Amino acid sequence: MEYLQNFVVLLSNRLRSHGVKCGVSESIDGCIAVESVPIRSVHHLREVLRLAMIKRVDDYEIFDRVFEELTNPLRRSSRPDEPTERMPGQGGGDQRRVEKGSGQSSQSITFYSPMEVLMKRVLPAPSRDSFRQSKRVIRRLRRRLALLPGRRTETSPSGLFDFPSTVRTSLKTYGEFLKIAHYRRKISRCRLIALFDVSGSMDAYTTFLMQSMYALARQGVALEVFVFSTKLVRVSDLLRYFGPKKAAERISEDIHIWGSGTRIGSCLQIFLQKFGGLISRGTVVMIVSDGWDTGEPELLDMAMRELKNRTGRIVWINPHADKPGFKPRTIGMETAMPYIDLLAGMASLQNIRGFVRFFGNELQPINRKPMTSRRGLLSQQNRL
Amino acid sequence: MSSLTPEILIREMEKELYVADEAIATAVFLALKMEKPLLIEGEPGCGKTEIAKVIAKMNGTDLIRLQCYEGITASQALYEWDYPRQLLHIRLMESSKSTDEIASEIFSEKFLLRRPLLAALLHPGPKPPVLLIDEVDRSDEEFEGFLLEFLAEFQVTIPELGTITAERKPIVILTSNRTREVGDGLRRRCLYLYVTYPSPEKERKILQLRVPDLSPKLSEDVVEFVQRLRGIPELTKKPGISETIDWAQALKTLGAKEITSNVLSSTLSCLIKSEDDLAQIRSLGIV
Repeated sequence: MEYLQNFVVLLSNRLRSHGVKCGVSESIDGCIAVESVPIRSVHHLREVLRLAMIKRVDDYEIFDRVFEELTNPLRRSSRPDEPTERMPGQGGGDQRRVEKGSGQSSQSITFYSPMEVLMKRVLPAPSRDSFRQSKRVIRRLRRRLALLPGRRTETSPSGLFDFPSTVRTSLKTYGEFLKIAHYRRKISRCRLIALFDVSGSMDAYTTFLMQSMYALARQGVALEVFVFSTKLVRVSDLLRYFGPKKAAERISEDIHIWGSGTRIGSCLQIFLQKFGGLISRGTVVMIVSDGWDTGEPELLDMAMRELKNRTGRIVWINPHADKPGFKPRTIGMETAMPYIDLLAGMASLQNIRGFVRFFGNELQPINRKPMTSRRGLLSQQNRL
Repeated sequence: MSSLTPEILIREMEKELYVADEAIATAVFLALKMEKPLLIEGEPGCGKTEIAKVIAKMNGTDLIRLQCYEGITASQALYEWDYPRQLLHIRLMESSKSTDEIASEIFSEKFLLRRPLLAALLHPGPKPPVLLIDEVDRSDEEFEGFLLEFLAEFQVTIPELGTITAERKPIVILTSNRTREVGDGLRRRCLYLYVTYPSPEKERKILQLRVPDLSPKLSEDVVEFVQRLRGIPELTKKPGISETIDWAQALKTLGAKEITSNVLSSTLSCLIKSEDDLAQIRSLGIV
């Protein structure tokens, strides 16, 4: 039994170093679990420990690999180049994502990339100044976003008649109605999903929006962030836990291995398949890309059609869209155009007023009554 | 209860027409043994809710269900005072009783409307009830925070009555369809199980149990076809186990001997529930 306990501790240490959230309580759960179930085999042990210690399906894969490493030392020694203990900040999470994509765990990693570019691309990390600025932006933005009522209610001095609350207060005065309570609908939050194209052609533009996304997430806007080029990775948690700077570092480390070229269509397909549950009619999907697509346009067309059907609004931000004489000529843009509700450029987003105006107008909860449209100058200009 | 093992559990659950594999059985076993809530995530229609129902039947106890939805609040989940009856009572008693008497009477359990969470705490027993908190991902984060507190202590404070603590800790099952990621806090308090589409063998076994008089040949074909549908990446909503069972029922009711294209096109609506997916399947030439 003691051996098993030591094993559980070792396992949870290893899991932590790979970026899985596995604390003392998970270790305790693991120990109790192995004590209460008669373990028959190594396979069975793995199943029991996985049930007790892992709390999200995305971590299953990494758990299996760590478990394999610990129970099968032979295999571990065959790949001495992979450091087993790593600090979370040193790219443990990246390694695992890389291997997930490659689909093989026991051999060295090889990748196919349309144009192998191993030059390290650096996602520009946000500067302190611009970050402070975007924080201010978001605070204002939040006030603007919070315009429409949701389904929860709160008490208020005026509004709808609140029967339960009125009666409840009247009981203090033995059923005499001295005060009438009212309630109103609480302001709801909008849901936003941002998909960033992080292939080489985007680098200069992503910074600002990345920070803004971070600030949005910090302000409690329901938000999911993904980055894509040849593949799609969800970075919401990265952003939330590490902040924009570290997240940008980690993401660019990954991109460096992905290789270049953008397959918007297939990435959107993957998004719809794997994360389709996240979207609903009340969601705004924001795609940030210049539309240079190395994949098949049919795939993009299909993905955009489905996206259009399933979400409330699609906002496409193309960094070049507000340059004079811009026409959506790239294949990706041409294909996607019919499905886009709003196309915007980056230049007008880069200052506070433009940003607030843009998002304030575009990110209203959609499934309710549409706002009487008093769209900002900016969106009018860009509506094509 | 002490002699329970996952293997016994598999057999017990099968008696209640639920085919559990080892992972499910172990998860349920641990949840019962460790008295921890079990969070079940997975594809729609793969028997998440069913697990809770089966546990309740197996233990011969009540299933108390809390269906979550957007905007659900604590009072809808916990308790409410029955205001109209309280008022009526006051009016009736006004002349005959003193105010103190009335006050103590109207704030008694008689006028308390028990919503699912409180009902689970006050369950008379003798066995602990099964509390199913269904589709917890649909509720918002505030409600999730409230649940967290409830699941940690299994007690509720009602200002007028005092603190109510569960005599028997209910067996708690939470399910989620992942329309929103459930927060880490809630995850950490639960055991976690992910259920997905079954293997062909398991699915055949399920059909055998659920639609017993279906011919083996037909059940084989049904499973094969459904598994093939699930393999099509373009489908937005893949058929779950419940759809398979529905379809098999339909085939049986129609008296079909085998799956011809005629039968298929008239019953496909059991499996595919969206227009786009139907078109997709037609374009692939499956129907």
